[in-house]
Amino acid sequence: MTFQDWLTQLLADQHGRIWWRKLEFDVEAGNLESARSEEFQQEVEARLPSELAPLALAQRVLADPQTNFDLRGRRVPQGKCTYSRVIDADTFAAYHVAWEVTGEPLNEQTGAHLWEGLGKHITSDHYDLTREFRTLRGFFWCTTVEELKKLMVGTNAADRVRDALGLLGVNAGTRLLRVDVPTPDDHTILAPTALDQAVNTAFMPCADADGRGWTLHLRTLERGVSEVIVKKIKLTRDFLVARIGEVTTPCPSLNLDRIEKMVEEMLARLRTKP
Amino acid sequence: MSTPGFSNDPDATAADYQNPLPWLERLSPAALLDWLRNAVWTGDARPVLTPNSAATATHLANLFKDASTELNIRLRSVLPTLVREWGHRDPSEALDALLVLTGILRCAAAEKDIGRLTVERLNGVRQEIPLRQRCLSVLAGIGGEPQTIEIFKSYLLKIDYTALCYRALFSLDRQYAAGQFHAIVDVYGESGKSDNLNLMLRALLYRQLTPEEHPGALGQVLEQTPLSQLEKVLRILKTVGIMLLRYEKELMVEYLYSDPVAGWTMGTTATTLNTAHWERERSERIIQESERLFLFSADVRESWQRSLTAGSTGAERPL
Repeated sequence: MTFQDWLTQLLADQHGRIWWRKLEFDVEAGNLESARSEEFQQEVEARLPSELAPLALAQRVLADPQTNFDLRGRRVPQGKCTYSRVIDADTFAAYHVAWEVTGEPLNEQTGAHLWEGLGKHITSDHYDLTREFRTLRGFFWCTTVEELKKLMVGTNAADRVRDALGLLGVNAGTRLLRVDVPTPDDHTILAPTALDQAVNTAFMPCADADGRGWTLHLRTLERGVSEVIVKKIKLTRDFLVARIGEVTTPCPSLNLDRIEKMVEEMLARLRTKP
Repeated sequence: MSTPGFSNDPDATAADYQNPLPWLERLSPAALLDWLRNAVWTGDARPVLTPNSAATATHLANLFKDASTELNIRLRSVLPTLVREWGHRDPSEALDALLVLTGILRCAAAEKDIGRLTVERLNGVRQEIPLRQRCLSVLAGIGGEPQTIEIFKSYLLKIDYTALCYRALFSLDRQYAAGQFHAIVDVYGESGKSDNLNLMLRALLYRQLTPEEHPGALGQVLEQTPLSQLEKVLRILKTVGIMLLRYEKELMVEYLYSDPVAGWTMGTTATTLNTAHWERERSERIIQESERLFLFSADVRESWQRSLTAGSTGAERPL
């Protein structure tokens, strides 16, 4: 099986097509060096034939710590600003609170315990300073504090934040926290590319001059808020954690046909640009 | 609509990606095992997509909260298998994710396997201490078996695990835990981690125990503390806002503790310590030490309150 065979199979699937077009956009817009897509091709070829479905193999290649496809974008945000990560309370409680200090058990109440105690008996003294702030990849996703604060005004803030940040899969009952991340001046912060987003459909590449990306609003499929990825970093007591609220509505469904059309149009516009 | 390029399972449809629970419900126990192994080992849980705001284990745990009883039963047979499967060469992150999932789902079926892991299989593993802490915190949420209680006892005086074991034992074998109080005070002191003792005790006294339980629990501690250690123990209690007062012939417990929402509160419990069955020397010694340590003028009490405010919860710090 050749790479072309694999690609043909990938493009026969809508999710695969959408992802591949985004990758093409990033390369053609100069967001990624063309060498990156050649490296990606080599890594896929090295794994062929594979029992994995085409997009599953792409995901496996991108997430493999040996392949180093994290943070390979070339666009750097202009100007200094503070970024904020949105994280659910269960995840922050399970991974970023040092319960071994207070001796709290880990169970279904842990997230609620953090939620209720935050700012009362749970403070920055309770952060787990040994763990890195990251996702499965070597970075995490942020928007600007300023934009997030605007979304937090009024009722149903968590629903608004979920939709505007394109947090696909976040359902009613999820408690969202905002974590303001103080980063050193030389810390790696970039606009995300299709290599960073992998199989997450709720993502759009762009080539804006401000060096940031933007989120895909789950309801309108229009621009949500600006978006960057921040290289993994150890939590410190200077990280500011605050409640956003509890999501009250089910996660909207994405219209894949419309997303595919949007990506095709973006690519066409880029290709016809003088 | 079939999405063969997106899933390892050709039956997964676009609708399954929007709502993956029905797809999970259809999996056989063997298929569920394969899918969960892949999800935990690689983070690839498709058709479940983990949002950027979550970790795979916590996202899956939340998803399973809405699962049918049948799926939950299947999960509870699969999780212990995966715990047993994990080996030294597997990523520590995979075991950690598995333990998080087991803990949040409170999978009691995995108790024995996690116990064995804690004692036998983590020695020399990368991330040995954090993984054992994770095991103990999961056991503390689900454990009750005699073997589990023995595990807590065996790690109690190792400082990395003391808080988890002590609070678990306070639930599972309070008499034993009360008798070890002076010993854990020493462990914290020798490790230079008195601040952590303070955090653990506050959590134990003011969130694990109810006010009604305080006199009984304190009585058990004081009854079993060697006389030579009494002063030290009373001093520690004082740092977490507890003092003993003599009222006529009885010992009363008074609390001075922080509640940043309600503001500082101070109150005297209605119950007295039951000291009737104590040996006379112990009662006299406690009264003597208490009067020396806790006999306050208004000024002293105010200064004590100030020192507790400044040093306890750090409520003014960024959150």
